[in-house]
Amino acid sequence: MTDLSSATRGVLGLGNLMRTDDAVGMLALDELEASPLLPRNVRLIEGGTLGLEILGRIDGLTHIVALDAVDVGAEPGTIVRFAGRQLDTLPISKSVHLLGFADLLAALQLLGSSPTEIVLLGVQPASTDWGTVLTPPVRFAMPALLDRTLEQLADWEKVSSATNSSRVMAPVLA
Amino acid sequence: MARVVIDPVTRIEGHLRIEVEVQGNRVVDAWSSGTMFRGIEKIVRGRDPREAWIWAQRICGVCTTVHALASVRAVEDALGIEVPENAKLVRNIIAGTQNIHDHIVHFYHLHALDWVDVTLALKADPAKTSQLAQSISDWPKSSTAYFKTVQDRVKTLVASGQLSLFSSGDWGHSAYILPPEVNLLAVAHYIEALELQREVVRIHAVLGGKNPHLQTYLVGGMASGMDPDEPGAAINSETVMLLNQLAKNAETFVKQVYLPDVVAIAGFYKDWFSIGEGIGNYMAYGDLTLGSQKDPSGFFFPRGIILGRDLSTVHSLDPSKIAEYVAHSYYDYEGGEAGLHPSKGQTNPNYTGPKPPFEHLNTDGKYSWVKSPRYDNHAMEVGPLARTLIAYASGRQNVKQQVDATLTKLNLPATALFSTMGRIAARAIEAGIIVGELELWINKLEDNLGHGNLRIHEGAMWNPDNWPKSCAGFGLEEAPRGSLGHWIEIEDKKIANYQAVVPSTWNAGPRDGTGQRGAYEQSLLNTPIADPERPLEVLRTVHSFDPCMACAVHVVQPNGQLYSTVQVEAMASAAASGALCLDK
Repeated sequence: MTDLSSATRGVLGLGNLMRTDDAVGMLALDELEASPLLPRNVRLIEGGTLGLEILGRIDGLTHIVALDAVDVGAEPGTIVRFAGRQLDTLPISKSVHLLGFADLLAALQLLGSSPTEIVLLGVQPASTDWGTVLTPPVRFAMPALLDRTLEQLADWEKVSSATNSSRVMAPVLA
Repeated sequence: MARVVIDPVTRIEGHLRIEVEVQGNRVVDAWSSGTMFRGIEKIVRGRDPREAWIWAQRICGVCTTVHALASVRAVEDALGIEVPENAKLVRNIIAGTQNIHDHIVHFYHLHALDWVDVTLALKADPAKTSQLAQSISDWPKSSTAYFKTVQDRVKTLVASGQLSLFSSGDWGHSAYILPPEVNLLAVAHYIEALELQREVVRIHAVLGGKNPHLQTYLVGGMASGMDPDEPGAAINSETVMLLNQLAKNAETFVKQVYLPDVVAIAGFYKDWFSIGEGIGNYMAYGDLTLGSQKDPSGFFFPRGIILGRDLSTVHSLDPSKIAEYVAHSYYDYEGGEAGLHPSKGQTNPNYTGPKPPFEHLNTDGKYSWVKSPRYDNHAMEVGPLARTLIAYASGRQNVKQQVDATLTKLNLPATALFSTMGRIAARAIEAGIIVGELELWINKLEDNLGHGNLRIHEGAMWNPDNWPKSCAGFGLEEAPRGSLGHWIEIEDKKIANYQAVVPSTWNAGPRDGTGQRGAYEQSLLNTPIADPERPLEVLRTVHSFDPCMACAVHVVQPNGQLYSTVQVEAMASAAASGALCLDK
């Protein structure tokens, strides 16, 4: 897994690999890593079902795309985007694994170290039962999810390429 | 009489259900039920004993590394391997770090919200909070401006409607009695502890390759390479410096923040030094030595047993007197329900509980996935309180001084430790003691590195061709939550039988066949309940044992249905934490 400690942009995959569609964010990381379109200076982070341990892994990132299964009651495979204040209204228990993305956002806010921008790309799951294979509607949504992720990263690159951070980061060990 | 149900008590690990019978605002009986089957014992059967630790470590994602250590120790015991000193040092540093990390996270992030009302912190005067902070500690982050910043951040979070992390508090409950300033102080340190915990655990990443689930254990030692001048080695001059720095930061935090906070908060909740007493029998296998695992006399945490709260005698502990019972557990034993020593233990699951959804457990029959371990037929409490009491009663000066100093500050006798708040105090005292030891082990490792003593693995018994046809062993350990043991039987180079008896088996287990309650169950008796609809007091005592993550508790309707969505508005005003189910 790519782990660039000096990167300022990152993709955070969340979810349980053994809970069918909940794995979509984690599986998307594999696809991104294999993609020739992934910009070089982007850190991919396997969040899995970790909770606050993720804090150490996103150190130094100013722009984060989080990928996760999010139950918004839409058609399975629907991709939803949350950004800015929309993240504040993200229902806490809608993330289907245990310690939610909302907890992470709150922790960052309390620490006074919220990234400049966080975007959550969620996919409506069809099933979060035990299983290691995505359901067809979520599998079909994967290419679109990857496209949206790459678009988001590219947008940020356009804006920030001139002002790219030059601060020195401590190596990320945890 | 009302039956109050809390299920699940925990969120990330633990899978715990508590039912209590409430009469006249007191708990008159209690049942603790583990609601998930573990079964790692069956998974490792037939596998290579040298890989058992990789599987066993996955028992838990919170105290990740502890099962790896118990597992390699069990195999080393079976094969008669004595690991090199460097391996002992690295293992001690890892275990000590786990202990400190766990205790800090438990106090601030899992337990504090049972005592601290975040919403009251918003009403605090930052200047008075600053005065209070400076009166109890030299910790530099104590200015009025600092507490104002913290208060503003919390305000912003509350205003955004996204309380999230704080969603499990029973805000406004009459059992919260801290002044606003103490609440603000605790919230500020909650946030600082978030930062500290992610720092200190880098020790695991350095020595274990990653965290959670460290990757550098080996039967016979560790796989962390040692070389002072090799940049790629896990342990070189540079990483030892980093370890030292991380340990020093942790020590400063424990001594200047954690311990003073516990004393400050405990001072307002003195009645909780006489609530939640529990069984009164305490057990510790003991642990942490640079000598042999077979020689408890060299253990930093002494081994022993205290019976009936009698601190005048520490009984010796004989591991052969441990047995697990299944009278109230969802297991069948071949050959009747007599207790089995873990070396002969069986894991035959057979769920006989009610079909979900159900209102109540059938507590006359089997009602838990946790077995009932007993020592010489006594129920036991394990954990930091047990370790502290045993060290105290054994006359260990380092522990005695710390305990006496803490009790003096609170003007309490040693018997006050037999309580819910006693567990909290003992945990903090233990962290303060172990963090000092951590630095000594790191220094010793540095010393060995400097003197060219780089041996970290004993490989003589690595090849299974050198093993006896059959052998057996066990590995004991003091994990943060208490005494942990793994038992292994090896036959023809493969695992023939494997059993883990974990701290929460001792503490969270159900009644045994003679009706003796487990530690949680016993400790809940006589708990005062101000409001049966919000049983915050029950959570205080259950959480005082540190039953893994407990960020949120879901609300159960009278018909047993689980609310999975907690409304943000409702959270701020009230009910997100306790859960209940009322009979009539």
